[in-house]
Amino acid sequence: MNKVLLEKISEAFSSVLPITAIVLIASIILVPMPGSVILMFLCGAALLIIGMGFFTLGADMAMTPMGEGIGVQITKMSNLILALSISFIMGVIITIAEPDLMVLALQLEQALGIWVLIVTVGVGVGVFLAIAVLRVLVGIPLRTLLCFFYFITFGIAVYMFATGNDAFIPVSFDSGGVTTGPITVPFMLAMCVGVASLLGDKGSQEDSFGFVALCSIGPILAVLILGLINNITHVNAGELINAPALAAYTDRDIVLAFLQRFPHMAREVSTALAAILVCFTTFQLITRRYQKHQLLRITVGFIYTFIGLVMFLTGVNVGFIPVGHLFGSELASSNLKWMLVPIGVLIGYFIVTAEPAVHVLNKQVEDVTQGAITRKMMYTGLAVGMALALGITMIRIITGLPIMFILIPSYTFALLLTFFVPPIFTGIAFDSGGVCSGPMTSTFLLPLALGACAGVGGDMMRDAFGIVAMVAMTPLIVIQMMGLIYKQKQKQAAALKEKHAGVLAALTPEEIGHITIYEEAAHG
Amino acid sequence: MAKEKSSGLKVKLPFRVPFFHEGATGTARHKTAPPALKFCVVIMNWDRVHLISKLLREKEVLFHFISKGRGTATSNILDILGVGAEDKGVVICLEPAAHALELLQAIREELHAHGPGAGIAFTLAISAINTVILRGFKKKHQNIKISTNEGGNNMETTRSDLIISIVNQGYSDEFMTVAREAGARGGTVLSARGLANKNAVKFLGVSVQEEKEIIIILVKRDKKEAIMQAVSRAYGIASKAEGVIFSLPVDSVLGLSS
Repeated sequence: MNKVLLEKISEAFSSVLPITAIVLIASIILVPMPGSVILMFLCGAALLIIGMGFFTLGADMAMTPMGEGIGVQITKMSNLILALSISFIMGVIITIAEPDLMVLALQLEQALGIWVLIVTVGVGVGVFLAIAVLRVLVGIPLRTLLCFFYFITFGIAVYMFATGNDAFIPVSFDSGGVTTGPITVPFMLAMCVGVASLLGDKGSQEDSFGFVALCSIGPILAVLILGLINNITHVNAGELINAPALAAYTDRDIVLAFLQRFPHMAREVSTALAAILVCFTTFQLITRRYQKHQLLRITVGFIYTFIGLVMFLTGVNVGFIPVGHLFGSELASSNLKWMLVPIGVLIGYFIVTAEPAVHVLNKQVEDVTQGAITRKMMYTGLAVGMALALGITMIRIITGLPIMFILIPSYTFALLLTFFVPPIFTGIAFDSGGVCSGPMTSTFLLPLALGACAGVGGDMMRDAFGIVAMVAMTPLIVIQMMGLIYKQKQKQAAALKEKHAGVLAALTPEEIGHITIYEEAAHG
Repeated sequence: MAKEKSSGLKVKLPFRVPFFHEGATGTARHKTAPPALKFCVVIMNWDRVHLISKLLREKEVLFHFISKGRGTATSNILDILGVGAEDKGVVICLEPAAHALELLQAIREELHAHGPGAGIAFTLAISAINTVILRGFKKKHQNIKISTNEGGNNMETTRSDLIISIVNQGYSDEFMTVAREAGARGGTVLSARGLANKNAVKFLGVSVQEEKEIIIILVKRDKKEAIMQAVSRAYGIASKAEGVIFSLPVDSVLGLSS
């Protein structure tokens, strides 16, 4: 068997199986569910495994080289205005094509025209993508920009909170995570590496991250400002799942449910991918960067990405939403309400590997740092972050704690940390916020939170939404904490070096420059 | 200390290798043979790198450096389907000649203990070294005589060469296709940046560097010429790839796969 293929298959299995097993076991012990729902869940998990395999392979082959290539070519243009306009246009196109944005727009339909929101968010991401490119080229530290923009964001949010518009805040923060989906994230991650890779003299490692970080602020700001201007106080929570109907599903109904979803997902994924394809084709025609062999591989990778995403999204949308919702509501309305917290933590810890973009980020981190920050470290860090996020959300649902009481201190802490950790960790941390809040979060964790909220009888808008914001926030802290530990270890290594420093300092310049030459070897 | 001369190409590796530096003053030409050191290179699957790293630390090798590279596929179709090339780790270190063989064999055993996996290890002779570094080796190996140029006899006796080619970014796949047709079995690709150009494009005061790919192929000596001819014709300096191709003699080779 082909080794690479085998590796991908085992990776796909090991990313989806843990979360499947945990949900299954927890449901058997705590909240027994109808067989049909579980069957749907298992079918969904099977699709997830296949989809994940294809997606990670496709992202490696197509999305990464495309993004990196475009990033490199932008840098090579040597025309700042052109480079920035292209980044802006690309940001807008990619965002508008993102299917998750449509879902968000539908939620706010009553208050806003769909296209008003989509275009505003698109422009938001476009502006921030241009800012991100400019940042790398000019060499502004990432933390300066992050502090500045988060300050503005929270300024607006606090103002809204004070004026009683707080129903809108969770959705705004969710939108940051929502718009950076599984298609845009790998592309932006790679683009950042591409832009930074050519600017060798300025420590390109540090600048290889931060695009997703800045681009997640765009939508938050855009949606917040829209809410402020239009004075929106009501948000549509979206349709809820009819659990009793699902319980009566026969095996044929289940197959039909999946089959009916396929064309819909295929359309969404192809729109989003088409946007990237258009950008890439234009670049390839102008710059002729890739040779025939690579183009073929990118094409195949593109097809893999398509197959993978359609499978993944269908599986997760049909199979996981009902289970998440049912699980949450049943558990919350039982007298084991407190169990929500430990179960949430457990689910959070194991769900991180099922988030497709996480694999792309972790591979990128390992590549850029040449293995100094390993994939394993990243998985552990993100898993802890996810677990924390779920724990906090469940506590919020049970107690009804306003989201701002958690977001403001956490973001303040995260931004403070940026001054103490090595800059590359800041970049990775703020990127991983957008990376973690992918399709798994919106199709399994969000319904779970909604269900739990319904079971407890809390306010959906205030308590359940905001889970995406939590998932996007905790990695900022956890990954940066990892950076602190890393820095400590580096200090230890430096102390070790100092022992030799004394010996080396005693050497005269002649001694240091002294070269021993092997005559025989030199002449063959 | 004299500033490091720009060596034309800067490999995107997080290390500097202390070799091939011609000291302006104070060079010692040994009448008696100095302790012979070998430049050891191990190329294996990236996921096994930590095993080697651990082993080298256990063996108290003075220093070793790791870089991530990309293997090349064994066939075009597999590569286009995305299941051809694997990530490779390139580990380099210096080791006294008398120990080099032992070290490579330990590496082979370590890798075998963790299942099959293709890889290769070889050593190159070094022609000069900073004396301070050499002193470090002398100090560490005080008890063992390392001044004799022994060892390496149990290795494959067929002479091998290391073909190093530096081409423009994006040509390594086609390059390997030609090399394979001419008899190469596989290679490793490292990303690099060109620094040689004085008129490098400046963008906002920062020089934008050329992207290069370094392809290293280990071949039996009798195949070397054919492969070098073939790739030079297709991707040599006159082609779009602007390939610079040369080869180094390799002392001893140890296949890690069999």
